[in-house]
Amino acid sequence: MSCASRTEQILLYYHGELPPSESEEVRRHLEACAACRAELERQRLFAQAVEAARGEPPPELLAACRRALSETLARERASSGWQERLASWFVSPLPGRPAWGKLAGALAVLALGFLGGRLSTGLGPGLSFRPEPAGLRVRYIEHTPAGELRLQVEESRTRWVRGPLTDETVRRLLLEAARDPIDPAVRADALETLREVAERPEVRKVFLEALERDPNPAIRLKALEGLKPYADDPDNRQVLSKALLSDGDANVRAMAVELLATSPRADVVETLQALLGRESDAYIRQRSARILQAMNASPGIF
Amino acid sequence: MAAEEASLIRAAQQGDQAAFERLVQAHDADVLRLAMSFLRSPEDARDIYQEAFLRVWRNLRHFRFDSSFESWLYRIVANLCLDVLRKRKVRRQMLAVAGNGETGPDMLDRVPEARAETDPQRALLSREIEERTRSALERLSSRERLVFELRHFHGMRLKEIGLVLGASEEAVKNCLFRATQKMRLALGDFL
Repeated sequence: MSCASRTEQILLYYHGELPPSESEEVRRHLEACAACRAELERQRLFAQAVEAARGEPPPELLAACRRALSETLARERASSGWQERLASWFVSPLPGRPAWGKLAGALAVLALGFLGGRLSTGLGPGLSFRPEPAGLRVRYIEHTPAGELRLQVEESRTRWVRGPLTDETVRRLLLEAARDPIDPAVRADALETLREVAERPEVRKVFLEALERDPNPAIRLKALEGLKPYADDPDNRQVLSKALLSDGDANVRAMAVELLATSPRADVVETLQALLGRESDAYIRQRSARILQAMNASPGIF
Repeated sequence: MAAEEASLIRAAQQGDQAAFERLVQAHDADVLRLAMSFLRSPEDARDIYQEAFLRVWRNLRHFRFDSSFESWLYRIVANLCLDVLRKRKVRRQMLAVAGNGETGPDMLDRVPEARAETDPQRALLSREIEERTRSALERLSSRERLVFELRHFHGMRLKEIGLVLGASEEAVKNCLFRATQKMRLALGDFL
């Protein structure tokens, strides 16, 4: 083979793409041929130049891509429906729903979630493993013919962050946990814990957000508990009034009316009067009427 | 395939979100770089990134370890990029009714042979070389650029690139050779 026709062979030799026997043959040729050694050197320099021109993606673009992917995947997961269905069954089991086994499973899963943050030992007899309490999520529940349960458990890598509630990192994490899009148990625990520092505006903001937006009424009740000492604040009263008039859960509305009643003011009269015209729950209607009576206000709008 | 990656894939196949995220983060900068370098558009690259990893997420359970994960991922990315380029080409053809069509890779085919004598001591990291290299890369055909980048920037074997492109190893070899020749011609003064 002439040196002129070896260019491709040297390129493949450089890339380590020749079969061993051919590679050995080229290596021997290179020892004896200065022109081919120069060609190999040019290839090496060329590869260096190419490497130097290799661009890195801008970090902000990469970060934006990751965020967008994370949001899309969260939506995909939600639409696949497991957590959503489990959560909704936990909140309001519909009478006549046939899948009681699944409902029991869902309750167990959520109970596991609530307990998970507190347990430091295993989860009791009958389970074949002792999972880490955090980062544990049941993804799928199967009933085996033998009467056993098969739980597909997702375990993510976790680490513990320790510190008092006065620690900014701890508080920040709790504020994020209170907005966890998937796990209502985490949100509930976070809101419960944050009650101790509810004097902080960012904490009250999270309570108000939860009251306005959380799909789970148990969480909205937690938020109301957190707002209890601050029912006097005009911004809070606005959200409480809104919850009283529009929340779909009677327990939430009942608690909202109690909070507004703790400091009866003129601003609540209109809300209660409007409520009396539409409220389906008898207790809330009576309570509202009594509050209006105590304020010497008319029960109706004239 | 590294054992750690294989176990990450298995965990992700079982629905482990954290494992999936780690898989993404192990490869996503490369995916974005490839898409950027190919399409020269951050918006298109972002779309490719998103679509590629969504496809991986949706189809990971079908991944049977009969190729490397990287090959599988790049096959998805490459196909998506080639689709975008095809659409652009159609658009260009529709718009360039009055043009002479002499753009892109064809121009490089007319570059005369390189001088035999070169100076290997030239400063290879200079801005000019980098710019010429990037410019030459852009002027390769899409297939040549893909082969070239997968080999040089992603260290893939020719056989793997063949799997990505659905082409024979021989075809990939020829493609790499052509791309290298064109690139070296463009950098001829410096090598």
